[in-house]
Amino acid sequence: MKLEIKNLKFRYNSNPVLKNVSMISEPMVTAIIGPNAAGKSTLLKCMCGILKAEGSIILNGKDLKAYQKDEVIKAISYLPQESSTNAIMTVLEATLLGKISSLGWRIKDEDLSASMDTLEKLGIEDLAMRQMNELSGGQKQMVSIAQSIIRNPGVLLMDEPTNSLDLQRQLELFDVIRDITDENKMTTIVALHDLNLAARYAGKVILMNGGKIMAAGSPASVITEAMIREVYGVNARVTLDDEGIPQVIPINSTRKCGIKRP
Amino acid sequence: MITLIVFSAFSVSGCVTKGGTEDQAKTITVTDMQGRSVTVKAPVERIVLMESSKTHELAAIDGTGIVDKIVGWDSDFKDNAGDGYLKFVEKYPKLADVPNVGSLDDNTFSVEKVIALNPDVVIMHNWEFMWCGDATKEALIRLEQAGIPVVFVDFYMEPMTNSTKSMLLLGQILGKEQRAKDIVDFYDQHVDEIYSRLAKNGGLKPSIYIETGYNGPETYGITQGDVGWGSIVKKANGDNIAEPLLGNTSKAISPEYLINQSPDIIILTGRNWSTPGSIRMGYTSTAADTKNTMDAYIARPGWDTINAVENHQVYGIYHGYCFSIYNFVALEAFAKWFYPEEFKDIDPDATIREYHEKFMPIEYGGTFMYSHY
Amino acid sequence: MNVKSKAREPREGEPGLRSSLRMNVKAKTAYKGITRKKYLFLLSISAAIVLTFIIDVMTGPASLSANDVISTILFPAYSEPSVQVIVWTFRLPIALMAIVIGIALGLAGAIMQTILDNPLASPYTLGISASAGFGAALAIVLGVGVLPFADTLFVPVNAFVFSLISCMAIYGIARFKQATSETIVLTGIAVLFLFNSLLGLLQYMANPEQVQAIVFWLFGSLTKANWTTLGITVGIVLVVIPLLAMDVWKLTALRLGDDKARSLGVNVERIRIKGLILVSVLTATAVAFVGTIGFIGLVAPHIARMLVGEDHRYFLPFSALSGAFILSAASIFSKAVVPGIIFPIGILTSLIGIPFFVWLLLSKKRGYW
Repeated sequence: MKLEIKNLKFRYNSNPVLKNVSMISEPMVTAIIGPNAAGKSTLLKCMCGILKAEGSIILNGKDLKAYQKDEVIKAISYLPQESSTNAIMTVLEATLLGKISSLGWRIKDEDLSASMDTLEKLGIEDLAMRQMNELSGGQKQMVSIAQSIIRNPGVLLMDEPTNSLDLQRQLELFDVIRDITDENKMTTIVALHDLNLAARYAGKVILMNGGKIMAAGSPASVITEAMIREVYGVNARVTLDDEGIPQVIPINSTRKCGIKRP
Repeated sequence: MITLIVFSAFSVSGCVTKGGTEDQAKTITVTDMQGRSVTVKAPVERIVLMESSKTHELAAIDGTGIVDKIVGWDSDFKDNAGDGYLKFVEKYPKLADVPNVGSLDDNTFSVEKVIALNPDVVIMHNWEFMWCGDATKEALIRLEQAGIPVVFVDFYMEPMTNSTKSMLLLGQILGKEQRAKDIVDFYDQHVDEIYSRLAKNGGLKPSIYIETGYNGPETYGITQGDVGWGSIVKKANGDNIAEPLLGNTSKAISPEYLINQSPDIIILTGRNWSTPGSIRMGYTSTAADTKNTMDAYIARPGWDTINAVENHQVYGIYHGYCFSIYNFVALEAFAKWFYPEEFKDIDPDATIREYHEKFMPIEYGGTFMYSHY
Repeated sequence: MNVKSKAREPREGEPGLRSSLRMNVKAKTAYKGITRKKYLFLLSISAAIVLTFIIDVMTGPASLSANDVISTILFPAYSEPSVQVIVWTFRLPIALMAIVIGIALGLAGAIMQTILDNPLASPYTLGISASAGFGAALAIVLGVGVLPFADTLFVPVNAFVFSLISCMAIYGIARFKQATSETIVLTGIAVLFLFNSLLGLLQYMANPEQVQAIVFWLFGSLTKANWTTLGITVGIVLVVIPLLAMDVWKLTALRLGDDKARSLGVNVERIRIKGLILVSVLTATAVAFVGTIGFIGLVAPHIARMLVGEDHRYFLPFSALSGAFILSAASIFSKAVVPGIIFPIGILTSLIGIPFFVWLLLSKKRGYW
């Protein structure tokens, strides 16, 4: 599904957080990068309707407001940043909750199958009967993703999904994200801190700072030494590998730090 | 430290004042109901009275004069025996201005206030040791330091034996020994009559349930084992159904137990309480008042199956009778209700009326004993 | 972790579709097994309640044989009036009330803990029972009531009205600010302390008999139950249950965290407010008719959570039934401990609840909350 945003503005307690944001997202993995408080999380929340912003959000050519509420929920899936849960239920049951709006008192066989299929798709079907509170952080993230894609959304919004994961799991998670995006032709928008992950996995990179979009385009065009210095205040070396993917090696902060030597 | 100095200053100045104004203050040494030996001025002229509803007892002994002698009291009279309070204040408006020194059982007692009133004696009660022992002991120590004598009386812990002794004791310190003796003689005469007849009677004891009608019909009020009302019931040769359960405590029993026991006689105690639906009796209550409140109790679920209700043996008694000299009237009433044949000629109403005429400065009126049917 | 880097397509040499089907069937059977286990638990506790109910009806200061009791229930017209009164006026309503109040408190506690995301939450955490107790005490000490009602209902109605007042205050503040669980809990604590101090003030002003009456309210007693109060309570519970049933999945989703629930389309604020109102109604009813009975709202949800998990289709009913079981058992004990005397049942539930609570704390499995 194609997601378009026009002139989005959002204030929180009279503080402008999003100042006139416009962008177009196609079915691919798009990474939103930027320093803290750039407005990345807020943007995602506005896109799925959790926060009400001024401006227009257009999904597949139709304004979001024109859709029914459950159509929106079915179409746009949102994975929030903090996903810690202590719920006492099995992975299968948690995944089922992704289809909450269509659940009746009894769970239908189709729902169960859909749940299992989703787990299989993500390769975690052997976790199906495990309790949620016994899982590691990475496993919980996978279950969250299962919840998000069980209803085959057209748009998948993820807010820093790899925050608490180690290196291996970060890469594995993004492999999965890329695969399901390709397979289901989803529009996946991921807010990220890690520039290298963004560069490797995203087809398009959007840079935000101070509530505005500073740049948008291919990873190589957005992630440059100049951009990093200007927006992040960091001196870095950016090289392109054989496939043209930029790799960032941070060197030091542009501010003078360190212990004063005599 | 500072309080000690202040107290010593008080007592020293107290002694100096006393020694200065009177030449040889006459004193009397008595043994109070705690077995303490206490020396007081004879007769006492300034009294601080705890459990102030005992104004009745003091008034019986000292007549109108007592009104000038009570320089301080607690709120018991006004709060718990409001009807009697109203009657006294009606006749002696001065009583409304008597300062409130606080009560021992809710930590409002002010020793400083008592000392400032410069009393000749503070009258306390044996039950205060049971229910607020720490506060009582502390008050005693501080009053002693201030040189103020404290005399204990008892109308509650052992009502049938200590009430008369307490009256004699009060007569001693008020300088009205003869009057006190007259009262005690009256009391003994009536009580002895009851006891001698009871002793002769060897038949079956009626089973009794006596409840404090304090809570209104929705909630079962407390009853007693062998203490308070329960002991008066026992002395009148009644079989208190609560005694095997309660020993000498007082609690509420379960409705099912009551229905199952189906006692022969039910007595509800009444007063002037603020709780809606509580039994109303006393100086300011008419028989109609009492009847209305009692009707609601009798309508309690299951009461229509109780022997007492079926046989029309439900009575009311004034709750204040339990902790005062009037307990002999309660005894008479009980004896009459329990053994109507043997006590046909006994008239407790006439007894209390006669007592008022002989000894009390206020008139008798109102509902104190009540037969519901 | 077992994550494949490519989506699951049948690879060379792999059985493919058949194996995924087999996986599916295995999971379904496993799931059905879990579901069956939960049903078994529900059935067992229901059976346990039937048992405690029977024992409760058979127990009492009047020594009636099982035969007497059963024949009085089946043929009330043919039994002795006093036996009839004992069974029909006292034992039956009290035994049934124990069950119904247990259900009400178990439900209220479960809802509380879910919407506040707090395992220590109970109807009493929000001061709802404190305000009800204050209302009752006000009626007892000052004879002051909010509504000029007949004497018999005076105290319970006062208790009910005051608990609704505190509920509305909490609701009002929650609306004014934001209905997050922190806001609600903090407001509730303020309400709790306010009414506890007011209650203390009343006790200070009261004489010993009044204090005794207030204490009664503070510790609860089933003995005031009659068919009318039982009927009203049942009616209220029956109204609340369908209102809860329609939100059963939303409540389950709430356990995943506010943001996750919102992303699933749950109106988190509205669910909280609705839950708050239902809890207040249930608690106010319970306190109005039997006084304050503690710990059931705290403990029942924990039992449910340990045995059937947090799928609210099972969690809520099991919490309700756990509450009923505890109270029914406590009712039996309260009669056995001091036969013939009215024993405040709230003391028993606290005495049972506190060691249970400590055991819970000590045996906390890793990750159990």
